[in-house]
Amino acid sequence: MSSVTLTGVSKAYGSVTALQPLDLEIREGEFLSLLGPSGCGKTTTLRIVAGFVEPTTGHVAIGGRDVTHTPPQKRNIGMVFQDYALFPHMTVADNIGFGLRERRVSRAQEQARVRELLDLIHLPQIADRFPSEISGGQAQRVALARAVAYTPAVLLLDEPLGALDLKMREAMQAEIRRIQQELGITALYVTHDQTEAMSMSDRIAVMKDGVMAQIGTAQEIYDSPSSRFVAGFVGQINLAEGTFLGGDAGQAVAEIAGLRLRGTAAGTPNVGAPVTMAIRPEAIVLTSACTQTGAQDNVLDGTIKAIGFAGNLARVEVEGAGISLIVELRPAELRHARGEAVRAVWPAARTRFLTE
Amino acid sequence: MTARWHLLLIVPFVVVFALTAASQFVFIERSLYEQRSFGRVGTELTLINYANFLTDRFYLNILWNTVKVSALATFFTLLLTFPLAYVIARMRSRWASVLIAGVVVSTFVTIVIKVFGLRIIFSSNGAVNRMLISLGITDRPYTIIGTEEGVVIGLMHFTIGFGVLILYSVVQTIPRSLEFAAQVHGASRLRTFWRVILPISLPGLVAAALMIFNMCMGAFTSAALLGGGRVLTLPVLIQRTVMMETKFAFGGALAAILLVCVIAINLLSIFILTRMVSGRRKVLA
Ligand SMILES: Nc1ncnc2c1ncn2[C@@H]1O[C@H](COP(=O)(O)OP(=O)(O)O)[C@@H](O)[C@H]1O
Ligand SMILES: [Mg+2]
Repeated sequence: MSSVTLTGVSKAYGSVTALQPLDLEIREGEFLSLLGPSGCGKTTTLRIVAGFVEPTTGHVAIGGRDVTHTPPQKRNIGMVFQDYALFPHMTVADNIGFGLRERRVSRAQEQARVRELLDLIHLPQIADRFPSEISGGQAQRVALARAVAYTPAVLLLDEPLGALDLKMREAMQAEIRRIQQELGITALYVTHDQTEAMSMSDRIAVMKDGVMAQIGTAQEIYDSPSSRFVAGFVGQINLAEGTFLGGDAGQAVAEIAGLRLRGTAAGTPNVGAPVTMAIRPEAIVLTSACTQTGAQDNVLDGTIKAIGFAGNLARVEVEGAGISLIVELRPAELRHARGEAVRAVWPAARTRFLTE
Repeated sequence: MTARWHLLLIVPFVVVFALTAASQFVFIERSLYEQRSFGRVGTELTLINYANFLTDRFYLNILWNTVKVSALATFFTLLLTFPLAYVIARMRSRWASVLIAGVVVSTFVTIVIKVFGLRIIFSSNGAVNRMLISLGITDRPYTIIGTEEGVVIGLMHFTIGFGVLILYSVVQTIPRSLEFAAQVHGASRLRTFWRVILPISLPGLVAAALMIFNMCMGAFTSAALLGGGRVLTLPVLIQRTVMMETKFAFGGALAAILLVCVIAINLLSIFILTRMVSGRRKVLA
């Protein structure tokens, strides 16, 4: 249970820059996810924390202690691998007890702790099996138990659920989160799956091409993305190009497709600079044409081009003023048909103007 | 149609059979008649050749020497090649394939040429002796020819390439993440080797050891060239008995004894190891 601090950490493999200099703090007891597409440097960051990769520049501290040049085995870390990495020649119990034995814990204590952990992962019956005799989901739980057996300073997880099917993945997400909170361990979690990151994390760091694009809670990242990339990577979003007009009464104003729209700006764009308006599909409501709207609302008059259903959601495409917006609502709320003229209304508070 | 095609395969079968099984059979059959002088053999079936071998200390000593130098060569070959194979298997650069190619090429260069290389290096004014003398370690040139160490080195020269190749493929089957997992959970490099790499490699190591041991037991050229007539092994003795003394019947008995010994030692080691392994764990993963 310690904080982890990366200061100016970067990594280059020869001429390939895997990681631009970045600063990152994982707070004590926090669950932080590194989220980004394949190749953006998530694993590299994790391995720098683990000590398998030496950073080209910068420092790593765990619990306030500089460990930049400390070998992995002396960092007091627990780690869960995508391929489980259970030792095939050891029983489940011996796998879980691996780190305890390396720490010279007595045999009796080791056995007691292993039993405790097997209960924690709800698998007391598989203690004497070998990894080849258990399922993928069980193997992942065992790997998790092994990683937390001696209460590590920080728990690292590199896409641990990638090899599991969807149902198992969702069960394991909850399981990992439960165990992390029960033990109060600081956790750094790597994933390219945004729903996974959103549902598990205290905070998310979104990465792109070796750069930390944005860091914040799931809510912050979802509601106030700082760039088109983050906006598009986390959930569905409508994007439309336009020009920044400046501030007005504490709000940002931009002209998008001839419309004057209000919202909040990411950063401080110059007047006249090109910006992209971003609005979540579920933030838009559909009303009948010419309905009165409030001063804090943005409005687009258009017609419905298409309606689609995805489970418990209706997806409506509205086109007008040369742009088209996707609107998501519950099927019961849908009171319009294809081809009908409608007014799409969305609050300024949820409208973002992005420059990058 | 296919059946007729298959008939064609009888030809290579007969050739292969004649070249392998039949030639062995002829030898073993011949060994069952008494060896008399001047290359003559008796007419009655007897085990006298075997009895002569098993009651003569001279021959038993040669058998023991053969097993001893083979076991030593096997042990040192594994000791030297495992780290090498490990390093090559874990290399991420292109040099790994260059090194493996180098090992393959040197392995399949004929042992005659390689042994002559050794003889030059260890000759009285060769590199090794010049170094030993200039360092003052010895004042007389040291020769490995005709010594047991020489034969062991010669056998290793023969087997080391095979050792690297076999163990390279063994190490390659161990995922790196297992080593990462061991290290991150607190094991030093040495502990990782001891608790993870070695036990997982054990079946592969045993297979490699048996193969190398068998190669050594049957090795003629390096044993003959480095034994220099003073250190005798069974293959060298067989060659002398058959080619120089034209004692085909006795030579056949020697060959049969060598074969039985090798098979027995292999079965015994496999038996002991399976017992050891199954005592420790239920399945071989
Ligand atoms: N050992 C390595 N040698 C050279 N390049 C590497 C190495 N490891 C990673 N890279 C490169 O660094 C970048 C980031 O990789 P990685 O951290 O594995 O991404 P992610 O885990 O987000 O998919 C990629 O472009 C990858 O090709
Ligand atoms: Mg990765």
